[in-house]
Amino acid sequence: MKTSTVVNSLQDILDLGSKKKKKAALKKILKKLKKKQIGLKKKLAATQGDKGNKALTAKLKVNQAHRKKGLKALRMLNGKE
Amino acid sequence: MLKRILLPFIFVILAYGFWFSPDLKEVTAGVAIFLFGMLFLEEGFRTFTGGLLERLLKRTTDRLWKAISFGVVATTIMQSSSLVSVITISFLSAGLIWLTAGIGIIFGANIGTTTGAWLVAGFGLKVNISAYAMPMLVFGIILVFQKSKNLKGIGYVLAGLGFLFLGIHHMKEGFEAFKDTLDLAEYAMPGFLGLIVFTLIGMAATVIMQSSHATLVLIITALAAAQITYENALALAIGANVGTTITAIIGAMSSNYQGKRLAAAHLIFNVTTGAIAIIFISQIVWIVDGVAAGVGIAGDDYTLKLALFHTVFNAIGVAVMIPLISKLVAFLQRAFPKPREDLVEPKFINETAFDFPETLFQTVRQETMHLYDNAFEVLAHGINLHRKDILSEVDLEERVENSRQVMDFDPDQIYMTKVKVLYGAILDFVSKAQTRLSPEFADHLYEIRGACHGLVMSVKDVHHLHKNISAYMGSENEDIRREYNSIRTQIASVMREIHCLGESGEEDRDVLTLDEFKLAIDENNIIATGGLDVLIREEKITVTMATSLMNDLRYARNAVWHIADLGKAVYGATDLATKEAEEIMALTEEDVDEMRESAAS
Repeated sequence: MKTSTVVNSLQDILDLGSKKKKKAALKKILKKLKKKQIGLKKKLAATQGDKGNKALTAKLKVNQAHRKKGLKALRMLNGKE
Repeated sequence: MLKRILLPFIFVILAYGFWFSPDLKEVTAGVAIFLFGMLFLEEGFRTFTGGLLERLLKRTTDRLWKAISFGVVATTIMQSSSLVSVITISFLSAGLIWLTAGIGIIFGANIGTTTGAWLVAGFGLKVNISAYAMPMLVFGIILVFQKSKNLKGIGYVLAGLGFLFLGIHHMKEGFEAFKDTLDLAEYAMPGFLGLIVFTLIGMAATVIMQSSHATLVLIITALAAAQITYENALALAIGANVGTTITAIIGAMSSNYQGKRLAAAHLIFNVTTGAIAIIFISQIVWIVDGVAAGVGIAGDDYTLKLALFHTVFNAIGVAVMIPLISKLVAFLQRAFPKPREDLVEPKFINETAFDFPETLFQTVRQETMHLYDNAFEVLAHGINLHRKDILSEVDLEERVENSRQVMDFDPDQIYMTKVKVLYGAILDFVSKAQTRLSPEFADHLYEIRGACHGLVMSVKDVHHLHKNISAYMGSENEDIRREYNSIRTQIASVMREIHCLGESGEEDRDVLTLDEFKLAIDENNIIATGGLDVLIREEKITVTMATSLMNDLRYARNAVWHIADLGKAVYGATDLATKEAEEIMALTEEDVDEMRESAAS
């Protein structure tokens, strides 16, 4: 076995704890964001005013962008990208 | 009260005098023209300040003897010890010179001002100076109307000298004519009583005219016309020397402690010199007679001897005071201490926190919030809103639309005493702490430090915005008013969100919400949307308004982004993994640009 492979395996073992923590943190926030998204969609459906609609749509847009970035990071941590 | 009575009283006395004696009219008109000339001369020299004079002052005041020499030369050239005093006070207040140097200049100015008496006694009375006055006035006034600052300055100086000469001429003529109708010499008072009384008259005359130079010229011209005795003229000169401190005292009333120290030094010097002159009058007169004989001044040339007396007693005053200067400085520093500035001190950070990385991180966050609290006043008042408007739940747009009152506050003072000091303390603490922390903790400290810097920048951004917000938030032009109110609403909204984050528990906090404000201010930017072009094209706003708006949109954008970043740094998750996850999901400038562009297309 090459030295670099040994070093990488060792690093993976040591990094595992922090990776796990990172994943858990991402999942926690993503869950929070999903909940927020559902709430915002409900509110949007109930809102009729143009001003309120615009504000909620903007919030939803930012929420989606956050989730998109979070999911991408999670996929990378899972080794899917 | 006294001021209100004094002016009408002087007017009545003068009016009665004019009615009683036309010659008095000529003398007083001469004084008025002379004072007018002094104003012109000061104005002329003022146009040259800000350059040469300041450079000279800085270079020539590093030693006491140099400061005294500077005072002599500057006052001789400008013929105004008041102007030199005022400039010295401004330099002292700005911390460009030290108190001892300032006192040295004042001492020198007292000697320099005596040259005026020499010029008048030696040249003004012996030559028909009014012949020079007229061309000087004509050339001077032509130059005053020129656009060039330097030419204008020369014009003021030339016209000033012209008026001075004209004033002297009228005083001389007036006293000459006076001689035929009224002999003031009849009121001469010999002896010590005369010395005291005429000293007081000299003081009063100088306080009223606010110029010892004018008083001295008046004394010399009266002496030349034999309207006053030599003995009384000496007393008047002593009085004028003490009375002249009134200009510096009045000037120092509105200045800081340094100005007050210098005015007090001026008063102490002139009163001491006056006292020495009164006590040792016969000895000084003896010295004057000896020197006059030595330099070839005739024994009966009292005007020149008066000028010599003026110089001698001021020189004696300087010689007596120089050894006491350090004691004088110490006394002034005690009598007028530097006012204690109400500087804010750090509440949370201290060196004991270095030993515990996690508490250290929290401590810096708390101090940063303290900094934000202190900056809040500038930020809120900068957009002309009250703290309660932002922190309550009232509709912000409505509140902004209805609040048109310009806030009266001192952003520079708040910045200096409440923001800058604390920011400096945080910077210092973070710099020391980072060497004791592991890299992941150090990174977060850097983030907080960056956020603090951003906050300071946003204070400056809002300070820049304040002027135009105040001008346009109540404008009749609906379009410009709407744009500036939009800026106010967006800044207030992000501040309200920061407050809400602080109020909520750590588990419920969602710092990513702050990205909504970043995106909103970028999406609402009417430069990017093309809205500004439409407003200009349709002539709804002027080009001046447009350029102001373009600059201010940039300030507002920076302020919102900085405040949002501060919120993230302070209220972000405390555990490192969650904090990192928040950072991964947070929108970057590129993300916001992309979202804005996709929305526009």
